Amino acid sequence: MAGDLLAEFEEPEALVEAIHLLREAGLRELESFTPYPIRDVQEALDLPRSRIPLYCLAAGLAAGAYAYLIQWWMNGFDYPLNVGGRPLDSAPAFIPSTFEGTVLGASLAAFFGVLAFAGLPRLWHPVFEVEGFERASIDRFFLRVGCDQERFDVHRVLPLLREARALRVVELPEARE
Amino acid sequence: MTTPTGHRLPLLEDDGWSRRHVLQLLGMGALAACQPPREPILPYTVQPAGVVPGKPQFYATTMTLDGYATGLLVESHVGRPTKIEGNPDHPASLGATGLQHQASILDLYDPSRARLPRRREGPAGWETFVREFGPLLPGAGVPPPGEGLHFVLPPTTSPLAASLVDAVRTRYPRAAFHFHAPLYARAADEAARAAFGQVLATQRFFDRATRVLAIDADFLGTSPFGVRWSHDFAQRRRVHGPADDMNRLYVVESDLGLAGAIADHRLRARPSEVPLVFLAIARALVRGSPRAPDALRGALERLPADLPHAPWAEAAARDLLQHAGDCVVIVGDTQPAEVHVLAHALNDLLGNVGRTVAYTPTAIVEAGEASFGLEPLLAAMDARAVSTLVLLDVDPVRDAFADDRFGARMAQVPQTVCLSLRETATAKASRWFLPGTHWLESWGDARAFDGTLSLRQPLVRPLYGGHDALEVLAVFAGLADTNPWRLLRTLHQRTGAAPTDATWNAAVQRGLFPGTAFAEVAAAFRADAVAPAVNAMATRARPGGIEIALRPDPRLHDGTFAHNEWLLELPDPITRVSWDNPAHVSHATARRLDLHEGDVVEVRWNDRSLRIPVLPTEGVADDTLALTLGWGAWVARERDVVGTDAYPLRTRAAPWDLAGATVEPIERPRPVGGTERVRVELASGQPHIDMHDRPILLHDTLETFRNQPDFVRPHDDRRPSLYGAWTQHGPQWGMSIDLGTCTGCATCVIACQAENNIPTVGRIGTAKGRAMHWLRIDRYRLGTGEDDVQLLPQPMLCQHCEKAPCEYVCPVNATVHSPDGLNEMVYNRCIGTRFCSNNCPYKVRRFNFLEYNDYEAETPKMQKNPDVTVRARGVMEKCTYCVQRIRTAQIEARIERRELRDGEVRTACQAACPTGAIVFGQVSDPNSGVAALQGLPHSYAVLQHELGTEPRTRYLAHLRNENEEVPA
Amino acid sequence: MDTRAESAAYSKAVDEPSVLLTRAPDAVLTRRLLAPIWVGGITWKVLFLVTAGGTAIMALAIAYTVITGIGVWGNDIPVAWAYAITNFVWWIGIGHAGTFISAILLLLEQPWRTSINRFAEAMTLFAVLNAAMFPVLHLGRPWLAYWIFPYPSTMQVWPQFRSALPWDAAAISTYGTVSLIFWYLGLVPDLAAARDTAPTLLKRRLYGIFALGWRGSSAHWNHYRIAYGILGGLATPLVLSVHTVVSFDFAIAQLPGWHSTIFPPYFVAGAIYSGFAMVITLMVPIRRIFGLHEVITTRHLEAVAKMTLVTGSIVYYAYAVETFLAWYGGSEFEMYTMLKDRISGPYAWIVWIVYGINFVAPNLFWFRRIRRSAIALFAISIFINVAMWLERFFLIVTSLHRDFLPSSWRMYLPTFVDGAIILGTLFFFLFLFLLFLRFVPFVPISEVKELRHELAKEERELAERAKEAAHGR
Repeated sequence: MAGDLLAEFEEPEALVEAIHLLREAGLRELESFTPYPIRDVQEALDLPRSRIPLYCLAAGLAAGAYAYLIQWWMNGFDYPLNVGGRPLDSAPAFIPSTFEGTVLGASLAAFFGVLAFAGLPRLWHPVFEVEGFERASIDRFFLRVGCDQERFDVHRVLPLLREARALRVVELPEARE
Repeated sequence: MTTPTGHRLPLLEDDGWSRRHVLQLLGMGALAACQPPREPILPYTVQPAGVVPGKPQFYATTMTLDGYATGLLVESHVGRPTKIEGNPDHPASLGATGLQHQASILDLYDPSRARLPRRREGPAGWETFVREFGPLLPGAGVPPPGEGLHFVLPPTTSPLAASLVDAVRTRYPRAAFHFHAPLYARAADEAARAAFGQVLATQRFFDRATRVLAIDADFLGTSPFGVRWSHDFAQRRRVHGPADDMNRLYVVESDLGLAGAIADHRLRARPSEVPLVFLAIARALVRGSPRAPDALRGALERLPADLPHAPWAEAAARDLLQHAGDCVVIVGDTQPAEVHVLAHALNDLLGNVGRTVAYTPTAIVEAGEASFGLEPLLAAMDARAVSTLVLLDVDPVRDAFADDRFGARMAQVPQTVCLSLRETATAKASRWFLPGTHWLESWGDARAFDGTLSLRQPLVRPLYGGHDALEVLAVFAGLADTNPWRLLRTLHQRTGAAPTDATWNAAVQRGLFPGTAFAEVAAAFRADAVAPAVNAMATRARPGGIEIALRPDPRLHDGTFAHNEWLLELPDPITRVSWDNPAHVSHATARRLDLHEGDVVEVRWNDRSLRIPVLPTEGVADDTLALTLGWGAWVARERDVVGTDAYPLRTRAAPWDLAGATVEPIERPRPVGGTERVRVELASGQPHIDMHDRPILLHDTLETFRNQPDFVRPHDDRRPSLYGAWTQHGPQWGMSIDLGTCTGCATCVIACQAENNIPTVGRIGTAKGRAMHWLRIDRYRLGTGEDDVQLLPQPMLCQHCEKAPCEYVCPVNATVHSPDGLNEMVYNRCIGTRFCSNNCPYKVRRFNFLEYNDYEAETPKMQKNPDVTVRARGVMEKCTYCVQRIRTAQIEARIERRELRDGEVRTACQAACPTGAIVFGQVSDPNSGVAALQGLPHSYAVLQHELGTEPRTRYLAHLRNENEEVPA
Repeated sequence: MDTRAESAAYSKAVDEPSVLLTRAPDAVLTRRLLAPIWVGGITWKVLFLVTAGGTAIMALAIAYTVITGIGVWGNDIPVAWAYAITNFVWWIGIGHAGTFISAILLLLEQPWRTSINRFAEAMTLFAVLNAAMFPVLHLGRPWLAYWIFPYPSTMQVWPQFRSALPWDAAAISTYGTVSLIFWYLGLVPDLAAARDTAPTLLKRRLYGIFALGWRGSSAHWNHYRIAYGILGGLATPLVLSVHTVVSFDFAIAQLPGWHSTIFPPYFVAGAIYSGFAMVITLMVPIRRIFGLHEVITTRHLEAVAKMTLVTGSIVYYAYAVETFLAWYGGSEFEMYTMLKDRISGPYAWIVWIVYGINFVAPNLFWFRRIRRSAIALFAISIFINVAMWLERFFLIVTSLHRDFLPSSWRMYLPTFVDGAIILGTLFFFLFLFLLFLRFVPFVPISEVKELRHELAKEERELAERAKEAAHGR
């Protein structure tokens, strides 16, 4: 059975066109590789919305709550001291740290969220084996067509890619498991 | 053989090289140790027998200043004297102390003390000395009858010293004794002889006086009786309610003293003017009193009509007359005899004698006799008639009159013996040198100002193996047993003061023999003495030019304490300058002569000259340069000479007041060309004295207070606060400071330093503003103008705010509030952000910017109070209300299952204060003294209304008793 | 075709200089922007050595301070804070412009931010690094600085969170962390590009590691864009909070001149103001040295100048308000500090220098010619940097040296150690910046390409419309 196909394009418009053609042909497992994010491509592929924001919200709230509680616990509960005659639970004074905690939590969630969802770091990937794939980060636009999806047929896919002015189409080596 | 520090020890060929001397040298290798005296010493109050480790014991003993005894209690931790308190039983102390008493503990441990006896250049032991001059080989050193044998001693009140002097005289009939001290007031003795035909001591009872006239007399400051007199003066100064009466103080002086600074009416007068003003007052008094003796009246009426400041003088005189019989006229020791005579005359005229003034025999041995002063000795030295000169605890080479050229004359004396605590100038010039002892190291006795016989018991064996002057006398007396303790016992058995062991022990325990005060002498004033005196005063030359006033130093006294870091770093009680003694000059004169702070000037008087920085300051008479004596010693800590020695200006002809001097600023070439003033930066403890009309030191007249007792309320009432009151339990501590009776003597500052292990930071540190004093004396200028102003003192220490601004800004809980209301500083927790200091409105927090404690030198460590942490570099510190004393008392009470008594906890500053201006205790207890004081109408907390800090330390506003008749 | 003409048409259309002038193909552009990290120059080496030397000075001064104690500084009682805290506030303020550019302008979709945000962020990082040293250094016992954090302490004595200093610790550490990840996340695609153009295997491996195996796949970009946006959204309130907290270090104290509610906005504006000045100070020489006029255009100069003008005006307004409130509040202490000591006291000359520069300098940016002159901008920015340092200095010192009790009033005089440290941090900052220029793509390449991709579309449409209009007539 053949591996995935990787098509190289000169400019984003071609890539977008290819995606449209293939999706009309009912192919869904498509992945593009571009040097910079291209709105048309993202729309054409019609990817699901990222769930990172949810995680950020959760992490932020948790971190904020933790920040306030630890202040209350340390100054107001575990070791209560008369400090300048101020109340033990000086809520207003605990807010700045709470806010910083919230931001820190959410930010870390966002960063590690990307890594997690994008499966990074992953220093090796089959596409790196493809000759000339370096240009994916410079000035070329690639499209991977998954081979193990029904309605995938090299003989149907290749003409479509050629129609979309693909410079070349190569077959990806099997991912070493 | 070498010491641990590698000092090569000289070979031990000298027979004097006993084990002790080796130890002495090892002492230099920092091995000096505290050993108890060999003789039995007894703690002050009856305490558990022996020494309980960790529990301090107090011993009664006696320190002498100018020969006069002050009874003290010395706190000893396992044999280490660490802190000095007053002896409540002693008339000169009444439980309080003076600056020098507090500070002298530091001199005991001073590493720069002399350690090694020597003959010429080489080391020589005490035994050698004894063999040379002692009884074993009669006349080995000096053949009887002691031809050419001369002794120089400081004036003494010690019966033992007197008996030994007699003993020496019996062995050496031809030996001559000379009593010398630079500050000793021979004028007073001469005056007494002139006025009463005998040398008498004048006793003043300021606690009975409602009016006081002080003529050039800083009787609250530099006087040796300052402690007792401050106490007495305060008795009539203290005002607790509109009904209370208050004394009134008139001061005429050339340089501002402690008394002058708080005087109700003060007159600036040039030294040559002072006697004339006094004459003006005298004349006004005579004119006002019909029954004035004719001699006095005549003498005064013969004076020229135009005496200076007549209106002021007359107003003062009227006031004195209205209070005839309960006022005091006092003249300073720096005034010549005739002025003292006039004072006697006026006290007599006002009928004060027997009521506020009394006369007793003087406690000073041989006072007023030929043996006083160096004149005979100088003559003998010129006549080459001095073969052996013995100088005990004196430094005439430095402090004798400059025109005595004592050093040069002494160089011609073949045999000289010197004993002193340090390698003084005299010591360096002597053939024989013996290290002396600190007063805490040797037995002795002395009399107080009123004659009370006081005992000096040592708390430690001589740290550096020194010997007491008494022992040297005993050696010359040829006594086989020179042990002062046995001498003392036998003497007082003989005199009957302490016939039995019981009486002796009782005396040792109390530090004095009760009931040994002199009886008053009914002395009749000789009317015929007054005319010559008045004429002498009137005819006193008053040339123009700059006049110089030489005065004792409020800190270093006559120079005895010139090596004491605490006193050197203490800001001058008036000028606030530390680590120096600049010449004081009035602002007006400074402007006229174009002099600025720190300018080094050349002072010329006759053929003498001196280079000294000047300080334009308040209260100095115009065209007058006020210099203080006793400075200019080489101080190890600074590796430099500190201050300027003014003795070279002092001559027999003019010991105190010099007229007709010139002052010239010194220029030096600037590298870039031209010249510039030679300037020094004076390390000021408080550069700003203007209060900027801020409600900090509240003050007003007695009248205002009587009309509106709570005139301080607007600055004290509490504003509504967002924060509820913190629920407190247990004792609540607080302090009340009476600004009305505080004289600003700064004894509390040194007491605090001694109690709380406060380090010194040196001249540069002080100049930078890093002095560590937990308690400082602020001085604020009152009144308009620069020179005719009041400088009121305000002790400023941690106010222990209940809403403490320092606490809530500390990020690590290093300063927090204790349940009993203390603002606590947790050194171990402090990381040194200094935010607390920034936010402290009173700026009473002190920071260890560098490592200020010396961990190398052994002996200074011994002074440290083991109950108080020695703070390391990088942490903040401040007044703790002497928490260690609070906790000790609480533990005691707990053990004895009782409540704390009021007054049981006394802070170091409170205990030391001569006027009792500081009162500490439980504000939570309505019956406590402090609660009563804080409840007074004129009690206020600094900036309470403005900042809402709710301090636990409150002040009683300063009140002055003005006489509206006196022209401003 | 003539690219210049095209962009000129565009410029006319939007009546502003273009944010991007280059028309070189992606490959060329990428190569040009990556060139500095592959080939170093002699100038770089020289500068590197110089700044390294300066950094050594700083290291020595710091070592001396830590070993001897901060007594080697000029601080005293009452002026217990001075140079160190001044430097702290100054540096942290400089950092703010970086975040402002990369985060706030991102949210505002300002296309011009693209070319400069990378080194603006780097500036932030290094400024924060410098700033963060001082709160630790100025401690009496720096080795215990960690006590300010709520770490699980066996002593159970916790930080005191009513003080502004723990807030500071939280704010600075958060700010540093977030800035770092924000910067690094944006860097990943360019690191990938560096990896893919690396001349040697070693460099390829190194950059490969830092690129985390980025492939630029659609899934990557999908999450990347969201996260990057969120970080921008988070960094925005963060940057405002950081200088607010810094201002609390003073505002929660009760000292006259510190205890003021205007401090937070005042400090934030001041921070961004001084930060943009520093952006100019760095941007102008870099643009010249690396010949980036096509990427960093006059449009950028103008935009930054305008920002400086706006924030500078806010700062000046704050001066006016705090002085007015001192009088209006009626506290004698406030009035003395603000109306007497600052205006005519011993430090008045500094105050007037600051008031002078901060009034004149930004207002020069009303003039378009000045806004567009790189030289003028550079000169003015230097003045602003100095003035803003002095501003923090007198803010701190004048309030401390004369507070409530005149008895404790004293002057502050810095020592040579104080000087060596602030000078050293300047070198250290440049030192880090040189490393950054040498080893990291300092213009966000992928973003530039993306931007150009979109601009190209935009321009084509505009050109179309222009032609139609011509035909229509």
